[in-house]
Amino acid sequence: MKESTHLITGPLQQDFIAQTLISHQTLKNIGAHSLFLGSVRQDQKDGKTVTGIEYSAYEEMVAVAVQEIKDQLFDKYPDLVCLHIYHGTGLIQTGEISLFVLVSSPHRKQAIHACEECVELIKEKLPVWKKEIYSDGSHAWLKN
Amino acid sequence: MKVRYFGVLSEITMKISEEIEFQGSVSAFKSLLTNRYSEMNDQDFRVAVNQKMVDDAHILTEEDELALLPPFAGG
Repeated sequence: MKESTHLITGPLQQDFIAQTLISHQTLKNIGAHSLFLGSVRQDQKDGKTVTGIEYSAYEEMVAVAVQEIKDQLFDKYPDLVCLHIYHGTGLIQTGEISLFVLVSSPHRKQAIHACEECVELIKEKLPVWKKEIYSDGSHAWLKN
Repeated sequence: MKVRYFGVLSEITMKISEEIEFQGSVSAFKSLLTNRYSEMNDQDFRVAVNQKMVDDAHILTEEDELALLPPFAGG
């Protein structure tokens, strides 16, 4: 599994998600973790079934966008301890996880609100594209 | 100047990147591009130079990395 700071090749694996949570146990000022997992849904479109989504990204600009998102959220929610964003790239099949966001703070309100806003900002600002793959082998490019 | 194509644009050009010799504005570059790849005319995309979004009036130089970005679809 290739790992740059925020992009993972393939789906996010359960072990990775668990390890990320476990690694936060040493940060004793955290009282709340709010987590979001995005997965690929098996939609039906024009009689075709989605089998997966192929994600691609402008890696260098993802780093810039993530920094902007973090700056914005740490500014708005100053108690946040940390915020992690991981997005899968390449083919991710239905049921598999494409996005993992973890936000941690001393108290729950900031973690919950910042996590929700983080997901919306990711959809708005992250230079990532998705190609929906169908059971008949055809595909379509999607927009947010 | 390195030009990188993302999303559906890489399908239209059948490339993920290429070197194009060009100096001038982004809007002039867009004209060059739509002459070369006519399907670009129907596409909605923004332009980033060295990972920063720019507008049509921006002047490009030989050392720039240009990226053509269709609407984002992450998450």
